[in-house]
Order: sequence, then C-alpha cells, then structure tokens
Amino acid sequence: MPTPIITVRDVGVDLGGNPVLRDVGLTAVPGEIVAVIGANGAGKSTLLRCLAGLQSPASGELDVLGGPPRDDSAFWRDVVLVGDEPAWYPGLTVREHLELMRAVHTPPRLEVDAALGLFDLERRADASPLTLSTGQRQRLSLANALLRPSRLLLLDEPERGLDSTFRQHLATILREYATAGGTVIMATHDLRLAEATLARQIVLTDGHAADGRSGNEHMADGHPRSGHPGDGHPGNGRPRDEHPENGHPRDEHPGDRA
Amino acid sequence: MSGVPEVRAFIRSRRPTPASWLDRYTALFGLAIGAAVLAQPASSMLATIARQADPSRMGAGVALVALVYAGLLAVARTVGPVAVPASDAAWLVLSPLDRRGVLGRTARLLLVISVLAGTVLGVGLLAVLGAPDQLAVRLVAAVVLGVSAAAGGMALAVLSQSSQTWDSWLHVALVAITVLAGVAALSASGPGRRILPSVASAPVTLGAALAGVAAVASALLVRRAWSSLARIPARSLLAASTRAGHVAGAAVGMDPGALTWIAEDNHWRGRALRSRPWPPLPAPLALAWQDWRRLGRRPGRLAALLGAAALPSLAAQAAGGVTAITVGALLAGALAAAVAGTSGARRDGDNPSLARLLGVDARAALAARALLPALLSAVWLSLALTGLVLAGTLAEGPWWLFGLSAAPALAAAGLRMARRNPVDHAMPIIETPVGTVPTGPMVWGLTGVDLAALGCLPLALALAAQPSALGGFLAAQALAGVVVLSSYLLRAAKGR
Repeated sequence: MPTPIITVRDVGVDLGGNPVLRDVGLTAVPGEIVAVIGANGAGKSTLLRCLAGLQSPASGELDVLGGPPRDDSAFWRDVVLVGDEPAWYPGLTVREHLELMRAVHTPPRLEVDAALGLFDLERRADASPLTLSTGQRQRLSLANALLRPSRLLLLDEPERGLDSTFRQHLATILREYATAGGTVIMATHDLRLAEATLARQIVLTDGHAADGRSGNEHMADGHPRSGHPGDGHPGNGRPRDEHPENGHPRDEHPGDRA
Repeated sequence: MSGVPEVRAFIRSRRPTPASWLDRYTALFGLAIGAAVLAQPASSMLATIARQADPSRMGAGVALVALVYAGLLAVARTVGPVAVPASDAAWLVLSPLDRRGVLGRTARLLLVISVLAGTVLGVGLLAVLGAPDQLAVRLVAAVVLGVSAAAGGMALAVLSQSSQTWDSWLHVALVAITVLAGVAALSASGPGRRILPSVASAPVTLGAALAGVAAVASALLVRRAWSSLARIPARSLLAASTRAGHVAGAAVGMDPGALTWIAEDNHWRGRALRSRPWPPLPAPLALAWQDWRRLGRRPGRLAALLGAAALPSLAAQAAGGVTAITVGALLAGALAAAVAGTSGARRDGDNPSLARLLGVDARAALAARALLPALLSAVWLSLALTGLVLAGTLAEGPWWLFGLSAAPALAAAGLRMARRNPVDHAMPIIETPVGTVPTGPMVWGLTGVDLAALGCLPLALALAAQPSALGGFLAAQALAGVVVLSSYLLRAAKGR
C-alpha cells in the first residue's frame, strides 16, 4: 500500500468557542480522490482549511506531504486550494490569467490553449473575468488550478455554479489528475460528482467524520457505514457508536469539548 | 395607491427612535457653534480679498479653482449623481410610485451640495482675482457665479444620467474646463499674461451681468434636470445606488480601500480587452508584470498622473514660493504615483487565493513588485521638481536627481500602503481636549505615509533649506531610499 501523503488524527477545531471539528481522522494516498460530504456547517471547509495550513487545529495531529501544513510558497508549490472565488488581477483577461500561471509554473501540467479548451473557455478568452458568469468564473478557477503541476488538490465545493454537463466533465478531469498520481480532497454537496469521480466518501456530521460509500459502491440501507475516524478507510477501523435513526455517529460525551 | 409622502411617513413611523426635540436642538446648536467657529477665519479671509491681487499668482490660482470645479463635476458624474439608499433602491424605485417623488429628497440634497460648493468656488475665485473696490458687490457676483456654475454643472450631471447626448456635453465641458485650467496656468509666462489682470480689474457691472447670465442659464438647466428626474432609467439609478451603497458601507466600516476596487472593477467590466502573450520572465517578475500590463492598458490614467506633476508648481506659484503645502503636494503626489503601480500587491493582500495558487516566494514577489512603483514615483517626482525649477520657485540645481534617489523609499511606502490590513476598530480611542481620536483609523491612514515621510526626510529638509549645494542632501536621500526599501522587504516578507 502506498505511503499516505495526508494523515489526520483526532483533529479538533473550535471557532469562537464552538466545536466545529471533533476527533476527525482522514488519510489519503497518492492517486486517491476523497470526497468530504456533509450538511452546511458540518465542518467541511474548516477541514480543508486545516489541510491547507490556514487553520490551526486545537487538538490532534496533521501531516500533509511529510510535515505539518504551512502557509508558505514551498508548500503552495505542491498544494492547490480552490475555495471561494479568488480576486482576479485587474486589467488581465481570462487567457492572461492562465498565461501568468503558466509563466510562473514551468513546465505546466497543461498548455494554456488546452486548458481553455478543457474548461470550455475559448470563446471568453479575451474577456475580463469580471464579465463572466458565476459558473464560468468557477471554471477559470479550476483551469488555473489544474494548469499548474501539483501533488495535492484541495477543492471546496468545486461544483459551485457549474451546470450538470460540466460537472460530469469535471469528474473525468479529476479522475485523470488522480490517475496521474495526484491526490484530490474535495468538500462537496454533489453526491453524483463524488460518485462519478469514484471518490472515497467521508461523511462529516456535527464535526465528526465517518466513512461513507465509495463512488462505485451502493449500500442497501442508504446509510453511510461507520468506521474509525482516525484512518478514514472503510472497514478497517473499530465501529463507533451509531445513531440508530440517522446512521450518523454520535458523540459519546457531547459536552466534553464544547 | 399610496403616494410617496405616505410611504415615507410609514417608513419613518417604524423607525426605532424617531428624531426628538432634543436631537433637533443638538443639530441646531451644532450648526450655530460651527458658524461661530468659522465666522472668524471667514471674516479675516474676506479682509484679505479686499486688495489688488498679485498678477503673477493669478494664473496658477485660477487654474487651481478650475481644476477643483472639474473635479467636482467628475465626482458627480462618477457617483451618479442621483442615487438613493440601498433600501429605497430595492423597494421604492422598482415600484409604481412617482419616480420624481422618490428622488425628490436626493435632488434637494444635490442642490444643497451645489450651493455650498459653489459658494466656496466663488469666494475662492474672488480671492485669486482680488477685489480692489466694491467688495460687497464683487462678493455677491462671485458667489452667484460660483453657485450658478456648481448648480448648472450638477444639473448637467443629472441630465447626463438619463441621456447619452447630455453625457457627451458633460464630457466636453470637463475637457474644456481642464484645458482652460492649463491655459490659465500657462498664461502667467505667455503673451496672454495681461488677460487675467484685465479680467480682475473689469468694471463691477460687467461681473454682475456675467453672474446674472450664468444664473439664468443655470436655472434653465436645473429646471430641465428636475423634469428629467421622472424619466431617469431605473438601471442607471440602481447602478448609482449600488455604488453609493458601497461608498456608504465603506464609510461606515471605515474601509476606504474598498472604494478603489469598486471603481477599478467597474472600469474593467466595461472594457473590451485583447489578450497578449505573457513575456518569458522569471517567476517573480512574471507575477509582477501584471501591474505593468494593467497600467499600459490605462494610458489616460498614466497621462493624468504625469499631468498632475504640474500641481506642486501651480500651488507654489499661487502661494508665491515653496511652502509646506508644496512639500506636502510633492510627497503626496509621488506616493500616489507609487501606489498607482501596486494593484497586484493590494489584491493579494486583500485576498491571497491567487497568490497561493501561484506559489511564488513572498519576498522575491514583493521585490519584483517594487520596480514599477519605484519607476513611477521617480518619473513623477523628477518631473514635479523640474517644474518647480522651471517656474522659478526653486533655485537652479540638479533637483530632479531627488526623484531617482527617493524612489526606493516611495516604492516601499506604496507597497506598505497597498498591503495594509483593514482598519482595526478594536484599537483604543484617545480622549483629547479637542475631542476623541480613534487610533484604529488613524494608524490605518498613516500606514505607508509613515515610510514615505521617513524615507523622504532628506528631500523635505532640502526643500525647506534650499541649499546652494545639493550633494549632501542627495547622498543622504539615496542612502535613506535604499535602507528603507531593503529593510521593508526583509521585514514584510518575514511577517507574511
């Protein structure tokens, strides 16, 4: 089994005194796609921010690419984060944003024309990103992220604003990225996208993580299986106390970390 | 259906605390105190007007008044000028209510602003031209002229909001006033140097007649603007109100930095661009190239920036020599020139997502991004100092070299200003005898300016002393520039 490039053990995060993540665990190996799913406020974005070194956990251990994640240029040479819409540089067109990325990352994963074609932006290549639709701007964000070489892709709701056809197309693009050895961790609300990427699913509920089904796996009862939150792999951890009605693991001592 | 007054009364009645008599008394008392405080400087200023003005300063003074007027019109055109609060825009504009009724309050506010600005402009013009006799009549004529110009200009701006033809006329007026300012500034040394003094010494009746004609023309424009309010398109109102809402939001949140982004984004939304290949530069320089390309795509702004290099010499001529205002205008202008080339650093400071995606070393990126602000401030400061020498307000000497030697410090100051954090409202408020001073906005306002003042100290001292030999000051300035920039780069990249 390949060595994990992400290891998260018992990570807890408090924001403004409220526990957002509790005892969350996750591992990911090169070539793997992990989809973190859960309701609004479940802590998906916070988990991604922890992996990107933008949020320090209050407890637990985090290891990304052989060390704790850190917000510096050496880290960002290997890691790509696509979250909220970035602020576009004033006065540059869509193509020039991609050319800037290509000029900084030599050799690139994709050439500019290929990226424009892959993300269906050829006809808007000379437009300012400010004049694009929400979905087109999201495609430009993703094109920028996938044009440059990287080892780890952290995507926060990559489906935001995308039409259903392009979501399927995005699943293919992400599968190709993973096939080439890259690792993808994405927080998503789109179960179809998660399934189409053949992603291993982690369900976050009230700050707790549990393994869900993987992309090509169907469960008879429709509930995610529970697993050890420390490793994130289905079936190889001890089962946790599970809520009989919603299938989500419960906190045995809810007040402990509040 | 209810009318606008009923709707407004309904909204007022739901407000948690309606204005009480005490509030009104406080407002009136504040106005009375303000009038009492301003009475003394106003009367002493009027006393200085009652004299024969110095003809050599007239050109520069008239140019400054004209530029202020053009600035007023340009701001009115940019803002709207007819805008309503966001809630009115959402609920009252897009409704069957009479549009002129909804906009009436804004129109009255614009009229008050025009009267105040026009009074200041009129008195300013009279102060420049002087009033050797019949002060009262000349003052009234000047104020009527100023108010007519301001109200007429504002009416033109209102008309331009609903009609492209009027907008073209406003554009022509703006260009004409700016050209007039340039001609006035140059008239002091050209063959037309007798024109302004002859205007200043024209008979009072001529001035009064001119003011009368201006008042009639302005009244016609205002009337036309008032009737156009009913036809003003909702899209223009909504756009203006969104801008005004951002302005108000930025003012309430004390985040003036947000304003420039609104203007910048609006500009690029309306522009048709054409992609050009990115130059094959090393990573930090490739990143910094964005600012060069952006500036190259705004030649008008660059030309205006370089044109503004003439302002310090105008101010010096109007004041009759190099004063603290001239030094302030020099440093502020040079810093503004530097800031004009720091949009990339600002954008990455506000939202570092793209910087993370690019993954360029922070210090190398900052050093590469210092090149354009350094070049801009060097050119601007050299031009402004040469202008002061040519105008005869500075002694002959290689003053322009200060532009080159102060540029690194100004680049550091520009980058520091661009990367400053938003205002920290948690900082303490200091009680002083003249009132409370909030330190958060003050520290925010001084961030960047502090480095410029520190780094350009040798230049400021040289301007104050005006020595015959500049060598020592130039060497000190070059050293200060290099030290300030290198320490800023070392500290800033570490702090990231």
